[in-house]
This record gives sequence, structure tokens and C-alpha cells, in this order.
Amino acid sequence: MWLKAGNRIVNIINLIIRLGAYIAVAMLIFMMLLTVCDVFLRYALDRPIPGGYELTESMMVTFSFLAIAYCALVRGNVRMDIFVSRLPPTAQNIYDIVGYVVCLAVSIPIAWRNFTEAMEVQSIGLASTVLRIPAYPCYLVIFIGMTLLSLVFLSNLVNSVYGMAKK
Amino acid sequence: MTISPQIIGLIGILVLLVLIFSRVRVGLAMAFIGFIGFWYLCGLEPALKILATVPYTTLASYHMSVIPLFVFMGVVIANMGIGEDLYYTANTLIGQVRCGLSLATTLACALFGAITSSSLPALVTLGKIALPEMKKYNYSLPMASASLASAGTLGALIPPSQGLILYSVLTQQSIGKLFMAGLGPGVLMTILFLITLVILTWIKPDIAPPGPKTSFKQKVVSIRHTWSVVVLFLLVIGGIYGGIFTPTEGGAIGAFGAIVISAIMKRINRNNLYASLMESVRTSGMVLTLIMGGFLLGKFVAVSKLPFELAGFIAGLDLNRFVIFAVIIVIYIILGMFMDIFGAIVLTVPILFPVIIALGFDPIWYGVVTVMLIEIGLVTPPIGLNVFTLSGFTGIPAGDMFKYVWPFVAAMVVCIIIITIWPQIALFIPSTM
Repeated sequence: MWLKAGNRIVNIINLIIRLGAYIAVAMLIFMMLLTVCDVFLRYALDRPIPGGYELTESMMVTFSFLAIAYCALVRGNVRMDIFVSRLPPTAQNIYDIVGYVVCLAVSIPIAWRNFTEAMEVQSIGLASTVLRIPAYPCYLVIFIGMTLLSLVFLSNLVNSVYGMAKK
Repeated sequence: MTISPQIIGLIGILVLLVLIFSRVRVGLAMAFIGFIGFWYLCGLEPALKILATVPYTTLASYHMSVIPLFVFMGVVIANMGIGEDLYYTANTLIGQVRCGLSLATTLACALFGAITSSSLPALVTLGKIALPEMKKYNYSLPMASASLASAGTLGALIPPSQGLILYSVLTQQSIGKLFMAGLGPGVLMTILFLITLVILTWIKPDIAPPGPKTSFKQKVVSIRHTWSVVVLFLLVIGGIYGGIFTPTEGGAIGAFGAIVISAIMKRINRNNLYASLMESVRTSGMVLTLIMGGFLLGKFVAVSKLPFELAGFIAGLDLNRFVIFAVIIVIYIILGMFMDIFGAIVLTVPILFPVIIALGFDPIWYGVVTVMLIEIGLVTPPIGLNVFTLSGFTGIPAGDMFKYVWPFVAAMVVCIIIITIWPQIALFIPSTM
């Protein structure tokens, strides 16, 4: 029963991260079109898009942290396994467990501190200069992205520990 | 007993290397050491503060959008079959001479590198079309694939280049100037690869016999297949060089241009556009994780004052600066053997850049040399990524390829020596901007 519930939770996390990747795709397309339009309008009409930089920055932060979570899900991160891959499977599993703990030890604090930063930034009303885009949603996006990243590592950690226990 | 911050910095770097060699994700390992090291030196609250501010200030940046946009451009180009066109043209032009197919592949890699930003697209695309052709004409496949694996590195040097973008992000050097500085060495390295091939087949003629004969008319007609490359290169690199737009805007225009051109050529469909977009998200996520980790590590390294102490110490040594540079070259070649280009740049540049500046080397020139040095690792044992990638989908044993790779590695080293003696090869074009 626990195994079934665990698998269901992992599937839901994967689904959320994939949806996040689609949002990242949308941000990438918007960033591209916004910049192309900005350049075109600057030369054609001498009227660049006001606040184009700020819009791109907001889209970039959304893109980045959703992409980071997706990259971890599809195991796209840079790892150097030339030595560990030559070890027996049990030893590899131990290295992986240590690795996931290290990743969680930094991804969870980043998520937590960006949530508290979002609250702080919201309370002082920090916003961009031209378009007055509030800064706190950007911090919330980082919180969401890093939480999803932590959940990927957590599910991998549980998988590795379960694999060891089963043996 | 109090331990000096510099020693803490050194211990931090050593622990980081242990973590990296223990298969911990490089970006997260750097972030972890950055956090723990900063905590030790400055206290918990400041360390937690950098976790809240650095990811935002680093990645919520207009200039950082250059990374996903150039990645997207490269992925679209790789998926729309331009590599096949380039190979067809180069093969029609020079395929009929001895080792012509390998020469054509090298030229196609260089041209492909002029519109993509890393080595893998050229490698995968040309590996799939050129190697079966070479097999048909009785080429020595280990030699041909070693030549292709080496020529693939041109994609990471000839602009636009993701390695140079990353170097620019970490050192605050102009991306435009770095791109232009990659042009001269890229052309030189292409010429050296071609010369290497000619010498190899002169010594052993049977490893690369002549390919199919083509008429003069066929040669002329084949050139029209390169229009998309010429248009994209002139649009992006010409636009940046001419100051028409910034490199960040160049990334957006290049990606948009690649989509428009593939639509004109009727090579875009829902499936390959979807694949290109998802691949761009994955690759960008990988690079951005490294950047975030690199900047967190950079905070720790900066408060430890390790790079400045190191720079001061090395500058104070009574040694010729080229001797120290030679040591740095060896460090990079060794690192490149174990790590990919992004990891190696993010790990080393924050520490070695102040040393290089203290020694009086040009930062733009050094960016190009750094990329070239790490690229050597992509074709050398034990993990030579390019060689293993080709081995993966061609079935040619990596060990056989490594036997033929050394003449090309020698060509790369000669190229580095030449641009060290004559840095103007890299710096002339940026100086005219």
C-alpha cells in the first residue's frame, strides 16, 4: 500500500515538473519574440518596447528555475561518474545516497530562504523601475522551482534507500 | 589555533573535488560548498542570506537570457537538417580527392560551428551521415571518426559558443568581443585539422581513398545548399560585430531566424519543434544550475581571498609568466579529461582568472584559450566525451578511435601555441569593434 501511495506521489511530482517545463517553453518563446520585436521597433519606429528588459528578467527567472527542476527530473545535470560507475552496484548506491543528501542540504535551504525573502520583499513593496512589476512573485517562482528540485532528489533518495533495503 | 580564510578556501575546493568525483551533481556540489564555506567564514545568517539573494540576482538577469536563446537556436538548427546540407556541399566540392570525405566532414563541422554553439550537434548530425558514406568508400573508420570527434570541437570555439558565453558571464567580459575573438583561432584550427588529415593520408594512403567524382556543374549547384548558413551567420555574427544589436538580442534573432529559415525550407513540424523546445529547456537547465552553483561558490571563494592570495603569490614568483601559463594549460588538459566544458569553466575560472590578469594576459584571449584547452579533453582518454558519443551511435570502439586522435590533439596544441605567440590572431577582430 505504501509503495503504491509513494509511486502515486512521485507521478504527481513528475507531472507538475513537466507542466513547469511547458511554462518554461512558453517563457522561452515569449523572451525570443519580445526581444525580436524590441529590436525591430527600435530600428523601424525608433520606439523600443518600454520595460522590455524588466519583462525579460521576470520571464528569465521563471524559465530558469522551472528548467532547473526539469533538468534534474530527466537526469540532465552534469555528473562525473568515471570512478563511481566502476564500483559494485551497492557501493554506487551508497555514493548516490550521499550525493542526494548533499543536493538536498542546499536545495531545501534555497527554497526556504526564497520563500521568506518573498514575504519580506512583498512587505516592503519592492518592484521594478519602469513597469512596477512586483519582485516577490519572482522569489516565489524560485521557491517553487527549488521545492520541485528538492522533491526530485527526495524521491531519488527514497528510491536508492529502498533499493538498498530490498537487497 | 585559527585557520586562515585562505586555508579554508583551499580545503573547500578539495572537498568540492571529492564530491564531484563522487558523482554529486557538479552545480549542486558547488552550491553546497559555497553555502557551507560561507557559513564557516561569515556565520549562518549571512550564508542563508546569500542563498536568498544569489539565485535571484544571478539568473533574473536580462543578459543571462543569452544562454537559453543561443541554446534554442543551436537545437533548432541541429534538428532541421542543415548539417546534412553542409556535408553534401563540402563532399561535392572536395570529396573526390584523397581523404576528401574526411576533409569535407571537417569543413562541414566548421561551418556548422558557425551557427551552433556547442560541439555535439555537429558530431551527432555529421556522424550519422558522413561515417556510413566513408564506410562505403573503405575509409579506416577509427581514423575517420577520430577526425570527426576532433572537428566537432570547432563548434564550441567558432562563435556563437556556449563556452565563451559562460566565460563571459563569470568574468564580466564582453560576449561580443569573445565571439569575435573565437573566429580567427576557429579558422586556424580548421586549417590545422585539414593539414593533419592530408599528412595522415600521405603517410597511409589506404586509410582514406578518394570519394565519388563530381562535375563542375554539380559543384557550383551544391553551393546553393549553404544559403541558410550564410544568412544565419551574417545575421547573428554580422549583427553583433556591426553593433546592430547586442549578443543577447543576437541570440533571440538567431533563434527566430532559425525557425523562419526552417519554415521556408519546409523542415519544421510540430514534432521537431516540440523536441527542440524541450531539449532547449533541459540543456539550459543544466547550464543554469552550474551558473547558480558557480556564483554561490564564488561568494565563498571571494571571502576566503584565495584567488587574490594565489594571484599575489604567483605574480611574486620569479618565474616567466609563460611557465606559469604552461602549468595552467596542464591543469586544464587534465581537468578536461574528466569534466565537460561547462563544469570545468565554472569550477576554474573564478579561481584562475585573477591569476591570469595578475600575470598580464589579455582576458579576452584567455577566454578563447580556456575553451580550446578544455576542448582537448573532449577527445582524449579516459572519458573524451566526443569520442564516446560517436562510439555510442556508430559502434566503433572508443579505444580504436583514441589511437588516431593524437595527431588531431597535436594540431590543437599547435593552434594554442600559435595564438599564444601571436595573440593578434584572436584579438585583431575584437579590437576593430
